[in-house]
Amino acid sequence: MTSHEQEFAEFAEASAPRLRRAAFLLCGDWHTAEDLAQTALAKVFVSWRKVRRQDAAHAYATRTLVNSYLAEKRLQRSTEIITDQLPDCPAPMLAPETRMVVLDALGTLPPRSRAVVMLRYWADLSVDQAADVLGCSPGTVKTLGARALGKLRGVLGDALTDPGPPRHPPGDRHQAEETWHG
Amino acid sequence: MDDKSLHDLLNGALAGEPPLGPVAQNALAAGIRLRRSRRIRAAAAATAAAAVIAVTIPVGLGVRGHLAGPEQPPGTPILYVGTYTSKLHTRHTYGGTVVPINTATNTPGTPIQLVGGPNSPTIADNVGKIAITPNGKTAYVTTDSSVTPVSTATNTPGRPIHIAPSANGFDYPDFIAITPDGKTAYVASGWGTVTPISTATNTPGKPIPVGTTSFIGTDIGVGQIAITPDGKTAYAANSSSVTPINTTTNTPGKPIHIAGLLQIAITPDGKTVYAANNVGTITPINTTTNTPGKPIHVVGNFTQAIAITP
Repeated sequence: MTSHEQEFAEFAEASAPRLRRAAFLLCGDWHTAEDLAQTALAKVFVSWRKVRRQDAAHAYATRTLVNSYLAEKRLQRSTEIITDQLPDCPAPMLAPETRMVVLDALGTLPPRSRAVVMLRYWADLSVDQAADVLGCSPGTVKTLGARALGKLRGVLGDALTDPGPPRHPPGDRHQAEETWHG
Repeated sequence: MDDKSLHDLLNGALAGEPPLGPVAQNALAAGIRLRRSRRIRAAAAATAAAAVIAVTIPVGLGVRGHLAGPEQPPGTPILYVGTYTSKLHTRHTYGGTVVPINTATNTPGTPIQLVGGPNSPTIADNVGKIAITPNGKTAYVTTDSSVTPVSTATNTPGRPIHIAPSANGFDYPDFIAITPDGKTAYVASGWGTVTPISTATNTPGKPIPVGTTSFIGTDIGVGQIAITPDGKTAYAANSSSVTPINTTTNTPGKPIHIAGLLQIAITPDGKTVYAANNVGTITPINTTTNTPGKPIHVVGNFTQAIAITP
């Protein structure tokens, strides 16, 4: 193994679990999530010389992951039926049920909104960082995020009475703008 | 529930996370293939006048009939090209095939579709290497999860042979070398073993462990196998050692450590194995004693390609 390959291997080993979790929140399926993480990492390897120099490998991997997911959704619109009519939802009291409810709720979101939810509320990115990952303006991220939260609130009901501000790095100037009031 | 933040809900949705597969290893292998295919496509685009995106790329080659012998089949040599259509490029068709090319007319024949292991029973992932038996009758093709013998007379694939299956169903056979007598094919796996396959019965023997296999360490698997002209020893190289395998008993000898090993070559008299590495030296290995000699220093850091005149 060359030194590049070894360096990448160490990075991939360290970041694969987190990338797969992020991918799972996007696609809702662990097998697809693993494929997405793997595809993203393979693409990172192709650009390894560039990204490792900039020390931006993790951000690049996340961006590649989201782009791979969005590209796949564009190609395969028919594989997942998006509906806002959910089957009967039991009261979200037990952990496995909550899990299903949250996943179902995420499933009602369009791909880009779902990506915003994952990036903003799970990966704790700022509006600017999420915009950078998605390749869109901060305004679009805010719009997509607000719509997504509105929809999630509608589906999750009292499970999400107050999403609260996402965890921000100190001094995030977008924190004040982001609390959404339904 | 009421006070749970969305972050916690999202984290809760991750409950029941299954164990992680070999994502990092697979990504590295896929990344190497992707980079290779992009380089080939870039080269093709530079020379082609029309802007054509080739999704099927040749990844392995083998020519039948280049060795004269009593069992030489009649007819023109056939060039076998292993191709892989990546699912990263197209979602409709992908997988590994072998395309026979008639070298008299240079026209490709019908692609031979390969099948993979339990995880990809209808389509093969990737084509690793092709090796053709000295009598020219069979081409052995490795994919990510199978070794498939292809009859060169009919260009039909035989039943795939699975070696050293791992937890995810992919055994990653890659490099394949056939003994001069044509009786045994030695297949390197991505998990650091070499499996002998009897070419008479197409059944795999017990995997032979070679070197170490820790992924994060220096070894990802066996990268190359070279067999001495007398057929008595197969040298299996990974990225830090060369292991001699006695082909009569199929037992490994003591690994000979070569830091940063990249490629090996055996002299025609079979007396020396030369090992090239990524530290700018070539190490001669005496095949009688299997001990390394004094490294030869050359210009450059990566001495990665070596070949010996016949």
